[in-house]
This record gives sequence, C-alpha cells and structure tokens, in this order.
Amino acid sequence: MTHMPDNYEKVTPHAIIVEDEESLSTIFRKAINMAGYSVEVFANGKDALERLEDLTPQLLLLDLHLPLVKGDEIIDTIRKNPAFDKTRIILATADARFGSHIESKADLVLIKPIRFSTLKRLATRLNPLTLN
Amino acid sequence: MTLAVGNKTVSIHHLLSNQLTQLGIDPQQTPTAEQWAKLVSAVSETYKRSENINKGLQANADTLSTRVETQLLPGTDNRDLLGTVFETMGDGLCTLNKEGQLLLMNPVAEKMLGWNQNDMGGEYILDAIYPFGSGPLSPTQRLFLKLQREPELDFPEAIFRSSSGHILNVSFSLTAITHRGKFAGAVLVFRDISAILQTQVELSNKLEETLFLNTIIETLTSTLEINKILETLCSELCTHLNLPHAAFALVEKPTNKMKIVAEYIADDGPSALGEIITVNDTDIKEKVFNTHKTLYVSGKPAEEDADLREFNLHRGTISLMIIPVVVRGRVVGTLGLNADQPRHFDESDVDLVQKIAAVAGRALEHAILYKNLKRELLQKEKAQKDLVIARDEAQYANEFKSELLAKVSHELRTPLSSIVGFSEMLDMGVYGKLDGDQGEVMEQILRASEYLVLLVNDLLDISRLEMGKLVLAHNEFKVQNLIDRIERDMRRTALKKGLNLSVSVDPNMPRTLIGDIDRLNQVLNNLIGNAIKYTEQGKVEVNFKMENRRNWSMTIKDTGIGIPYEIQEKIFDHFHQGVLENFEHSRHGFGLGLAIVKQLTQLMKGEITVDSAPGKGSSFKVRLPFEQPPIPVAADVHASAETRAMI
Repeated sequence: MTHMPDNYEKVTPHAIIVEDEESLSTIFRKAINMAGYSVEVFANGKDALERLEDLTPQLLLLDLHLPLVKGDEIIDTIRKNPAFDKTRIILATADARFGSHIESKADLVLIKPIRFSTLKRLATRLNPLTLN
Repeated sequence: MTLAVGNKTVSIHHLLSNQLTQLGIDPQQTPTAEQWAKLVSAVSETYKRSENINKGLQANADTLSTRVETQLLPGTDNRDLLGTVFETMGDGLCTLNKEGQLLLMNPVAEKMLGWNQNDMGGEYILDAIYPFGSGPLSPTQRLFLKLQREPELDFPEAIFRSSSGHILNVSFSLTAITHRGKFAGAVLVFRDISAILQTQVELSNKLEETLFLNTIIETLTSTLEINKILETLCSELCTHLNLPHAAFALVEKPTNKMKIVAEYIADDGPSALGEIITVNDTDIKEKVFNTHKTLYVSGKPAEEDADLREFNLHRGTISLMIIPVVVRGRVVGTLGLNADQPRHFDESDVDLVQKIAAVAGRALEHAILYKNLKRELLQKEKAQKDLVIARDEAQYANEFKSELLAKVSHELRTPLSSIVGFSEMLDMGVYGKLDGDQGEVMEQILRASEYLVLLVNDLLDISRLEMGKLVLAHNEFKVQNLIDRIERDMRRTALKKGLNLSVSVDPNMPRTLIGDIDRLNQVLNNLIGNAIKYTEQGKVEVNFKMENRRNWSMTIKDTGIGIPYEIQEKIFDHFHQGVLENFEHSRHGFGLGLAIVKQLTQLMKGEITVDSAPGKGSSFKVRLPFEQPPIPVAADVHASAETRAMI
C-alpha cells in the first residue's frame, strides 16, 4: 500500500492502459477518462511493467499482444503481488480464440472491436468511487 | 514370386488362385492328380491281372496233371473227359512224356504255336517252341532236369517261337506228373500275354508322359513369366521327342501377325526368336488357324510340299508339326515342331504335343488373367493414391481457407475497433455536437461498422466451426436471461420497422436450461434478425417450447416475404451463390448467418428446419436436446459472458 495515497478511497481512481495501437489507445483513454479515471497510456509491456513498480492503479486495461512483454505476462507478474489485489484488470484482444483461455486471468475480457460506450460503461462500473 | 501391393506383400499364386477360382477355373491343375490316380490304378490292375493269369495257369496245370495222372492209370479210360477239357480250355496245353516228347496238344496250343498234333506228336516240342538258353543241354533236357527237382516251374514272362518263326509273348508253367512216386511226364500250360505286355508298355509310356506333363505343370505353377514357360515347354518337348527345334508363335495385336516368342534350339541351330510371321503368308498356319486342328507333315522332302517350302527356306525343315494354341476357344498362337530329317510323328506324339499345346493355352490364359489382375490392382492402387492425394489437397485447402478466415477476421478487428470507437465517439458528441445531416451520416457509418463487425465475427465462427475449434460452453442458465437478451438486442430493430416482436414461453418450459447461452443467443439473433429483415409488416413471434421429455425448441415465425421453394434447402449452405443471386433481399449476407446457425445447432446436437410459403412468411424451428439441470440454483451470469454478448 506504499504507493497508495492515504485518501485512496476518495481521490480520482487511476487507470493504466497498455495498447500499442495509437488510435485504439486514444479511444480507450477517452472512454476510461469519461468513466472518471485519471489515465496513463503505455505502448509496450516493458514500460508498463516499470511504471507498475511505482504505482498501483485501480484499473489496468491491457492488450494481449504487446511488444516486448505480453499482456498475460504483465497479469501474471502483478497477480503475484498482493499490492495489486484491488486492481481490476480488463484484457482487450483481437484474438477471439484466446478469449476463453485467458478469461480467468482478468476481471473482464473484451474482444475487439470494443465499443466506446461499452468500455465507458464497464469502466464506470468498476470505478471504486462509483461503486461506493 | 511375390508382388508388392502398397506396403503389403501378396503371393501372386494366392491372388491368382483367388482370381481363377472366382472365374470358375481351377488353378491347381487337378488333372495331374487324376492322371496319377488313374495310372496307379491301371498299373495295379495289370499286376492283379498277371497274378490271376499265373493262378489260372497253375489251376489248369493242377487239374490237368490230375487228369493225366488218371489217364495214365491202368484200367481207366477218361479220354472223352480229357478231350472235353482240352477243347474247352482257354490256355494252350501240351502233355509230355517223361522224355519231354509231345503226347497231346489242345486246339488252342495248335492255334497259338502253329503246330499240330500230327506234326509234333513224339517230338521234343519244348526244343521247338522254347529254343533259348545255352550250354550242352537242350531246352527240354534243361527244363526236365529242373522239373525233377521242383514239381512246378513258373515262367510269368517268356517267349515262345511259333512254327512260322514269330515270337509269342507268353506266360507258362510246367508241372511234373508223377505216377506212384515216379516222374512220368509233364503238363505244359501257356497263355498269350502279348496284349498284357502291350498294355504295360503303354502304361509305362503313359507314366513317362504324365511325369513329363507334371514337370511342365510344376514349371507353370512356379513361374508366371509366360515366355519362360513356353520356352520350358519347347525344351522339354524337343528333349522328349528328340527334335532339334520347337517354337511358340503368338498372335500380336493389333497387327494380327504372329511373333515367335519362345523357342528351343538344339545345338547351334538358327534362332527364329522375334521373327514376325504373317499368317496369310504361310498356308499351313492359316489352315491351323481356320480348322483349329493340328497339322503335321512328316518325312516328305521339302521341295515336294508347298506348305513346307516357306519353312524349309529358313531352316531346312523336313518334317513339321503345327499345333494350335487355344485360349477360350480362340487360336491365339501355334506351337511348331521342326525336324531337319524325315521324322515320323505317330499318334502318341501328336497326342502328347497337343496336350502340351493345351498346357500352353492354359498357361497363356493364366498369364492373361494375371496380367489383367495386375493391371486392375495397379489401377486400384493408383485410384486409391489419387483419392488420398485429392482428399489431402481438399483437406489442406479447407484448412488453409479456415486459417485464412480466422487470420483475416483477427486482422480486421483492430482497424474495426478504431472505426467503431471513433464513430461512436463522434456520434456521442465526445468531440462536439454534430450538426444537421452529420448525425444521420454518423449513424450510417455506425450501422455499416456494426454490420462489418457482424461479418468478421461470422467469418471467425465459420472458420472455427469448420476447424472443429469452436467449443461450446456447458453451463446452467435461465431461460429468462435468454429472453432478456432478445429484448435487448432485437426489440429496437423490430420497432424501427414497425414490427411487433413477441416472445412466448410454453408453460411446460423449465426455468433453467443447460447449454451455451451466448451461442443460443447468437442463433436467436440471427434468426430473429433475418425475420425482421425480410418482414415489411406484421409480426415476428418467438416461442420457447418443451417438445417432449427429451427436446425443447425455439421457433421464430414471421409474416414476411417467405423463401422461394427452390432455395429452401439451400439457404443453410454458406456462400451459396444461388441463394445470393436469386434472393433479391439477400444483399446483406443471408448465407453466412444461417450456415453458422445450422452448424451451431448441429454442434448442440440439435436440428433446424424451415417451413415457409412465399408471400406468407417463414417459420424456423430449432430443436435441441433437453438436459435436466441438477438442482435449481440462482443463476449467476458471469460478467464476461454478458459483456461479450453486448459487443
């Protein structure tokens, strides 16, 4: 909990998006932003993992196929760390074949194309402030 | 000899035997065994006969000895009786006094020996008819000396000489006559055995011939190379008949000319192998062809015989025999025997050679059958290989297609995500409110994008269904959840067209089912979507029903344009051109959706049927097996499943 501000429950929740396709990250950023999160975007798994050493986001949106470090590897890494117990993970993939295979790893698995409205609605639902 | 068929090794004999048996031909050449049996029985018969002859002779001799003894007894006159015996006996009979001089001879003896009683009475008849042996003693002295030691002498095979000097094959016995313990004379009984000997000679020849045929048949069954067989036949024949040359000529198609395919040449005679003979050119062959009969010309100088001239030119043939080789009633070739010296072919020669030709005919028939069989096997093998190749290619092509579909579908998703995402953002006014027609245009873009997403999903589904990679979920779900999804997904679309969408549930329908709710939803969306699409006014009704204990069903009924009868069976074929071309309303991809519905239904072990009347409407019914959920529990719809359905 060292990375967490004391008033964690009250402040704007933070989201990290890892998506190498720029146009998609733009859409994701907007949708999640509109769902009430502060958003950071990383284009590869390695940069994202480095950032995750310093920060525990409330929401992590990952693409499965990422450069350098794959999405499911990032999930495996942070799932070992209890600090991320409250981090909700959304996995986005264009590969519908792997959808069910990695379903258990993430809180949500979304198959591309992902509708803007759908992502916004789901992210809103997962927002701790909204939940409260 | 074996033939490799695929990776199996099959005995040709076995194959051939089977084939021959199927054709009703005995491949084992049983005549050999029959010939053997006949021969053995004939030989044994002959021996029995010889034995009987000896016994008969002995019996006659014994009887006569007694009679003669009686005759020699003083005071007894049995002349009449003896005369009768003499007359009626089938054997030659002579009585001799103790010196060996003839006393009496019966008519049979007279006839056989050419002597009569008058000429030979008192003569040493044995010296005349049995003038063999050497030494100082005459035949009579020799035999009588022996007879005094042994009362009976048997000669099963002997030679007598007739008065004219002819040789007689006889079997004879000489029996001593004793009177009061003293040697008083002898009885000679003999029988002509020429016929028997002749039979024996014939049998011996027959045996030899049979053994010869046997060798040939053995050769036949041990090899199937026809030319080798024919060569063996030639060689055996020449050796057997002591001929310098024998050759087989076979008709070649399509020229109908004959070619010498096998031969035997003694010493260094000229070879005719490979020579082509035009049948018409040689009269003799033509005759053989037309008559099916063996022709032989013996011992004539070639110049005098027109038929031989041709042959004479080649090899100085003097004697010739041409035998037809017949297969199934047709002359397919000839066996020719040539001699460079006058050579007499007797009946047994001709008979033997004809048998050989028959053997050759059978060998040829076998060879033809074998050749056909081999060709059939090869064809079959090739056909199988072709089929395997075609199947593999088709399978590869299909797999490739499915892989390609999956790949394309996957690759399309990322750009589609951008299109859908940005369109929606614009539509929702994220980047500012749209003016005038912009909103309408945006909606068009969104609809097109949604349709594109649908197509991409369909492509992926088809590819996964075809690759067998689509795995159905097997979860308990509430029927109401499925109905809620219909409302959520289709209600608005129906309303937009002014159609009434109603969902009814049979009271017997259980509240929960087991299955894949997402895929059931997909099936329903497809069918309801089509119903709405092809219905301009009226209603679309969805009904859930428990058909019986084992099946439940979903029926989607509309009041639309219906489906033309001629394409009703084809609408479930994906990419069916006929459907797309003929069905004017199908421009929005009718094919893929129904194909997926059908395949999904089948994957769920159910079936789909259509009942439609053009102009009145269609009714699609999906029947599915019912599986009783274990215990009714509150349904907990997994968030992911729900979200996936929403996309």
